[in-house]
Amino acid sequence: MRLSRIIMALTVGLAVVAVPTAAGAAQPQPAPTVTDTPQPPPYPPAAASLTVNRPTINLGETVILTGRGFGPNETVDIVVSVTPLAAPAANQPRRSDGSTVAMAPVAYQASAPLSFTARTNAAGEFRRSYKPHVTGLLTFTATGRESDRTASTELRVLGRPQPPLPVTGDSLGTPMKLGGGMVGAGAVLLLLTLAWRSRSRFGMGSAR
Amino acid sequence: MVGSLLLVTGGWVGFRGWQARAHLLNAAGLARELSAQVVGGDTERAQRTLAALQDQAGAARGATDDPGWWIGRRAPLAGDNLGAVRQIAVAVDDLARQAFPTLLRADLTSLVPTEGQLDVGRLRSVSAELSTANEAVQQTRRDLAAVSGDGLVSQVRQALTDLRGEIDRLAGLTSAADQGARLLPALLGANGARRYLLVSQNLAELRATGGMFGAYAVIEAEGGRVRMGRQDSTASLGQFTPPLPLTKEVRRLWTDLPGIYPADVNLTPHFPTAAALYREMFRRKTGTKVDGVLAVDPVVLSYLLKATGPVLVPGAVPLASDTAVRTLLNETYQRLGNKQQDEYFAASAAAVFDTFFKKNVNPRVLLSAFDRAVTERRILFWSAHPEEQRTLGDSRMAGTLPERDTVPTVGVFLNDGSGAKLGYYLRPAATLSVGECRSDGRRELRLRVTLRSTAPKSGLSKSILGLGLAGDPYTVRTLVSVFSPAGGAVVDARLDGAETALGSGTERGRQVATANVEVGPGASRELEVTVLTGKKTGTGKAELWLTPTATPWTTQVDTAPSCDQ
Repeated sequence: MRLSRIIMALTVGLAVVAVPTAAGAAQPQPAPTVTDTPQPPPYPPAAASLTVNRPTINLGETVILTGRGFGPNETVDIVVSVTPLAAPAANQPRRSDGSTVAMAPVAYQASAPLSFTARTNAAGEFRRSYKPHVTGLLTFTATGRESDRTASTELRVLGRPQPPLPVTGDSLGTPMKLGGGMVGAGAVLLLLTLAWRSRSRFGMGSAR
Repeated sequence: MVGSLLLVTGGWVGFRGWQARAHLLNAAGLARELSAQVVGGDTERAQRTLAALQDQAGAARGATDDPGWWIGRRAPLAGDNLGAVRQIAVAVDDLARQAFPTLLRADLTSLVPTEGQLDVGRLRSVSAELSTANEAVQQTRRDLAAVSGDGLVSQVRQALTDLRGEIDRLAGLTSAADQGARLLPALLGANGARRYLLVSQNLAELRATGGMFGAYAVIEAEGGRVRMGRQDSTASLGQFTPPLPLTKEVRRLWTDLPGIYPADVNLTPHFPTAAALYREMFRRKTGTKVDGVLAVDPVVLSYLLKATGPVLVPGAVPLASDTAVRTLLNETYQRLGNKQQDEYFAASAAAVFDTFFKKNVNPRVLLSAFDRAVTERRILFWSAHPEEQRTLGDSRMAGTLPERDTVPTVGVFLNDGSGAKLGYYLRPAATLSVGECRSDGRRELRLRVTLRSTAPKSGLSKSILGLGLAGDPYTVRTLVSVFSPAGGAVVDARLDGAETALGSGTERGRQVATANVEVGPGASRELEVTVLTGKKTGTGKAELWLTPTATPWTTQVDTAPSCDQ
């Protein structure tokens, strides 16, 4: 039944919120051109930027942070803040494999520093690797000591990957199919036997 | 004696059941016909088809409503099935008698303005009718939901499932139509004058929701009458220091840019954020408060021009459906100086506005143009009145980035990084494949985004080349932001096979990774991204949400079986 299309047509009709306006909608864009807008270019990326080589990693892996647009040869302070990943649904039991992340006590992660520094080169760039010791959403904020430029980025750290489950939900399928096939084969054999016997009885199977 | 009675009853019920089945089959066929006739605008025939449909549905209901059937429903085993068939017959009959006639009666043409005015009185009566029809559909839906599917033979169970699916969809549509019709009079100034900002997204300079808000016009609505007021370019709004307040999430992704420049408010794909910022900037600059923001683009115009035919612009090339996008997004910048560009844009806007209100436009063609534009997310609307915005909800027109997914959705949003009008030359493509099921309940998705540039190597005007921030002015720099499904993650990204630096952040429960993709003239770059769904997502389905572009995306989604199978 395509009846819903009737209603579709109506719904569309209601999009007519736009009809009068859309008439004007039609109007094109006298977009500001570069020459008549003496503004600093409104384009990202902004002066300083902080990027990662991978936005999500598993616990135990290392991420590389790259900073650009800072002052030349300056020290950059990097601060890490950790928050849990999206809270689990209320009725969903938490598991202990780290994949459903709770706020971890700060003392626990002493091995991965929550603040450290990097040194930029003459072009105002730096690279720094970081190995988190906790799962969750990590926010890195880098601030140049002299330039005072700041940039931030995020990293999601998931629990250690687990080997795929050895048995999937479909595991019963094969034995079932096998069994079904055998029953089917049995039935065919039985029928064949019956056919053979009836043919013999009426003497139709004989070549004579 | 008892045996023969049972046999006779059984035979009778079987006969009536067979009749009911035939009537229901006929009704389904007629319903399809009716739908085609309504879409085709053949009202007279549609009325006749509806009468026949009512006949058949009534007969099916009648066949399942006699003493024999009543006894049969009390019988073991067969009883539930007979009951379900009866419920199906009743549901179809209710729809044929209560909902469809109202829907057919509702006059679509009353939804299109004549002489620059929409008849609010007629709209109100259409709204009341829609409300009745919606009530009938919702009631039928509740009745059907109460029928238990347990213990039904597969044929009947399938019929029940199918019907429920159809009615769910129908109910979704009628409730949307009902809410929309209730909203419309207020939006059009039936309860007091309204003022909106109409912004035009310039697809030649990409932003996440489409293009930079290049120009605006103030639209005033009162008592259903609509007129176009002041027009100006976004550049006239200047810039804002200190920046307008932004959410922490948006600031982390885009720094303060969306709060400083009106041209950057839609670096985020969440239209309500962009619209609210633009409204506030307009208020600070002009002192005028508006009730909402409506965004459209030149592709919408090209669809509408199909309904009107070409529009003559005094002293310039006419605007036609096939050429409008090229004329507005490319040729104007290539051929005309800055001042002439503005004059041409203003003249063509006025000409188009006049045409829509003075010419007799075929309402059906117009409505299908709107349908297409809304589906492609090229018409976006935000209301500054919270209760109206709530009614708009998650509909496509609201441009809301949902915080939850019904189907895991990967967003690919483009923002221009070259400061130029080169977006017109981009040919984007995206392929999304559903991958392996992981032990942590997430599912891996593989996304491949290809950007090809058809820009020439030389000969473009200064207006098109703009700031040339990519270094070579003919190279298009595009910031490609990949949004994970809700609760998911972006794992890694490779540009032409090599690891690439990624900006990373979060917006509305989705991880966002942004890569810088620079495409030289005639060249093509490929970004491959691995994405994870949220937890407990075994489904093999996936969807893409993309920035609408001047040349539409080529897309492909490869689904997979569910992890539970």
